[in-house]
Amino acid sequence: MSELRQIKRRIKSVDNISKVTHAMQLVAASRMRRAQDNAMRGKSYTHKIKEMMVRLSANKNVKGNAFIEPEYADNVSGTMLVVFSPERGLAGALPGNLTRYVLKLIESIEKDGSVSVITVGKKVRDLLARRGVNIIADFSDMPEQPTTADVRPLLKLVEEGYTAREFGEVLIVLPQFVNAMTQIPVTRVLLPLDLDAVLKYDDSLNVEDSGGAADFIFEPNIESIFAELIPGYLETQIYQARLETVASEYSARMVAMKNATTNAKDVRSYLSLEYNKSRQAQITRELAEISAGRMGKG
Amino acid sequence: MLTLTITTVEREILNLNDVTKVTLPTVDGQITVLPGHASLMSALGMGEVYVTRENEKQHPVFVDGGIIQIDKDHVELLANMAERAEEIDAAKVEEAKRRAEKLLEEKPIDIDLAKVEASLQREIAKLRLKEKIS
Repeated sequence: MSELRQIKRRIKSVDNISKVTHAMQLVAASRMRRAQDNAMRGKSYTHKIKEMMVRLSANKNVKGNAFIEPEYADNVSGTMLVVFSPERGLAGALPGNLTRYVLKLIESIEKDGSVSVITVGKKVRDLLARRGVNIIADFSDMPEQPTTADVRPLLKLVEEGYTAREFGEVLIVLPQFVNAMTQIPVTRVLLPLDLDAVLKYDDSLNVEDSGGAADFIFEPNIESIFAELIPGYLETQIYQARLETVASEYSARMVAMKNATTNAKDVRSYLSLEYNKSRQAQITRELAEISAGRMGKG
Repeated sequence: MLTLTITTVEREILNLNDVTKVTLPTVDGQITVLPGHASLMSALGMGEVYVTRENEKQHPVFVDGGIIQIDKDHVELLANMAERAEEIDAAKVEEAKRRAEKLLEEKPIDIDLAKVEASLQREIAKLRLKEKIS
């Protein structure tokens, strides 16, 4: 009897779990759609402005701008990684995959220079901190749809460090949103604006070699165009990275919760089979006892 | 024939491949781009972009700030702000204009008056464009 009651209790708790995971799946799915739209809409601008910057930077005779003067980036070792990751758990393998990717990247960069990290998102921050990675700042409270004011402090840190030559490269790492089932960790080069760097890290934005801008007319002049472009460029890259991370987080969570719900259903059907089996066994046993009793009497 | 795209951070506003003429505001004044134009980069000012297409009519687009890149008969506008004239909501613009005017009148100390002035100019320009096409 006690075995039956135990199985019944387990069936009940599995039912409750599947109810919770199903609810979480629905919530994640609805947020995912919105986040996905946001991430997709900004992508083309982010890509185009980057292509323009890289193309312009091929013009090596621009002076007076720390972000493009080549001698700034040359001879300066050290890399700044800006790592975007989910805020909360229950997102399947996403945080784990991302952490593994970041550690591998750090290892390969550390062969030539030091690495410092800025994190946006709690999940990978905690995993990296446990491994003793040098995290200099954390911006995990960045909203899901950041404004200029939300991105500004992070950029200030990056700009000051880069112009003061504390590091020669700034890379963004994020779980790139491909579709609801797939999110892959990727690297994007924020600075220097240099085709070599973009190729070296296999930048996921696919900036093409457009042959520079040597024969371009610049109005009023190339310096003022750079000055106009750079703040917007830096901002949109960070903004877009955050949007894509959010879309990836919700998709990963939706899929993880869907799997959890399916698993709970499997466990439930296994348990009810067990329940019926042991109920049947009990009836058989009772019948055997009754007939044995009668035979003893007769 | 020219191709033309106007993109903002939020979305792609226009993407056309049958354009014969574009007139757009730069920071140094208005320019008109025809096929065969020299490669050019310039900063976008505030104002209206007029597009002539081969067979269809095209409403103007209101832009404010950004970058222009013209290369091999492709006109690329990365705008800080852009809105199709037919999508401008007159009621919303009026509201924004009123708010800006009120701020300019009250002059609270913790506000950038130049910015408010600029946004007022923008709302007025949007209204003018809206009236022009309707």
